[in-house]
Amino acid sequence: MRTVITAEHLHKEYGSTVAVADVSLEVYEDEIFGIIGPNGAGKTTTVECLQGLRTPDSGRMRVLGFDPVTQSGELRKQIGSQLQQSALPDRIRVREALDLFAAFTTHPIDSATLIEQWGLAGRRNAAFGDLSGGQKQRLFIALAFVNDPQLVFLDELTQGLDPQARRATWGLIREIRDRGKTVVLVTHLMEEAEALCDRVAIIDRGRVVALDTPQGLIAGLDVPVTVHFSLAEQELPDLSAVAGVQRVGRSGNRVEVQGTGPVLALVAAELVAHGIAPADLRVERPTLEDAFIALTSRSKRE
Amino acid sequence: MRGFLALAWVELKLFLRDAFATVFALAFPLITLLLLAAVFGESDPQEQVDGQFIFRGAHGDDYYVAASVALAIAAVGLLALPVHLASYRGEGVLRRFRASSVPTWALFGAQFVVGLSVAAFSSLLMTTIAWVIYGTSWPAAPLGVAVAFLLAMLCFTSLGFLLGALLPTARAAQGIGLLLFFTTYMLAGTGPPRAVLPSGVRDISGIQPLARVLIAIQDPWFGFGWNWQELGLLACITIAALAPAALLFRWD
Repeated sequence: MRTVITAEHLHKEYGSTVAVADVSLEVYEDEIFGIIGPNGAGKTTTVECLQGLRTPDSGRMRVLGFDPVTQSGELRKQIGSQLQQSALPDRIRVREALDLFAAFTTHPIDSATLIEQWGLAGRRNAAFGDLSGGQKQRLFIALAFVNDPQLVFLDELTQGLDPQARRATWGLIREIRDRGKTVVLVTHLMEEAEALCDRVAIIDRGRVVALDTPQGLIAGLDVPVTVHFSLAEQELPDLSAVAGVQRVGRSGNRVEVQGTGPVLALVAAELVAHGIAPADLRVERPTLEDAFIALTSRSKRE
Repeated sequence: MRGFLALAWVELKLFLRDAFATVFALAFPLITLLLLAAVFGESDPQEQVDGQFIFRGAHGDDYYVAASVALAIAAVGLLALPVHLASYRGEGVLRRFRASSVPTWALFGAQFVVGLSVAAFSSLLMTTIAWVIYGTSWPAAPLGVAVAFLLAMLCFTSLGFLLGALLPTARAAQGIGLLLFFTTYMLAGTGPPRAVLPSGVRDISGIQPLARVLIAIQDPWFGFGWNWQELGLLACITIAALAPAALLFRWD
């Protein structure tokens, strides 16, 4: 696996505020790499440094073989950027904006293709100022791809998008990864990171507190899964004897069983063996959000 | 180069879609011209004050046609351009440009093309209207006026970039820009001729770039010939403003 981004001990202060204390990470080719963290954790500053938009006070970086500090011009031609805070002139039209930015690249993607791909066909002649939040966002994403980049940075990708547009966007980002591009995604939506990212770095107060696959981060938590079902009149069999079960709780007709390993299958088998087949048997697994909260609150205590 | 041309074309269209900028660059110089040419049109070119010709030896209305051309250039450089750049910075448009590798020279160049087109159109319109209404004269040396106009545009575009680089917000740019514009309008000879100013003020007022622009444009217009000294001065001001503007320019 080729390494596309290397960052070692990045440090950046604004006045007396430490935005990034010490961030080191590597991003590999063909992956969707997520950077998640609470507000003000230093996510945006980190990716702005990697894009050559800010100069870190110290640390080493290598992005696509370029040094983002001294070779920012060459680097920016090779990458795509969707910035968290940026705008276009209010009176520029969608089509004009895409054509304008295409004119600054050597091998641009046709604006008609991007308009189609990002669902802006009905708004191609609309002024930027007249677009809805979601449409503006889709235009910014389209602009990030106008130079057909090998590596794209997407900062708060689905901000302002409705649930349908969000899912459609995830699909397109996966497609882009599958075509051999690398994506760095900054997000505060755990659902988005879990659904989309191959690997995730959790940044808290300017430091990387964890870096793994979303599944790895969740598994590393050792949080038990919880099986829920309801039981009207029947006697509850003794489930605490089932392998892996740690705790059984019942309140009224609602039953909650906590445990580790294949506890759902074993509990279900035990119930069926006693002639009980609850229709609402479901399992609640720990999510990336649980891992995130555990990891970031742990770093707060330390 | 392709990017620069595309940006210049888009910026020109955006300028025309913006009412505030259009009003200041087109309407203001035109209205002052129509008023001042009507008031001073009958004045005697030989009339003097303190041993100086009031209207530099020209007819009052001809004097103000050339002055309104200078005013259009100043409106673009001191008002339209700094406000435009500062609001682009405030809104995050410049961040977007930089992330998409828009070079500084293309941004500056596109603004110059827009300012030049707007001021040239405005000047042509005003000269034609004054000629139709008051029978004012066309430039005696058109090429000389064109060269002076081009250098004056370079000079005031550079000053506009410098203001746009120094002033942090669109509000600051609007406030400072209006203050500078109206002060220089009153003191550079584009409003009251410099000959009627008190002698101390008259001497100091000569250091204003707009005062140099006015003389550089009027001399070939009135048939006094090309004023190489003023043209050289405008080139010097251009460099003196452009160098720090490029160094101090911030994208966010």
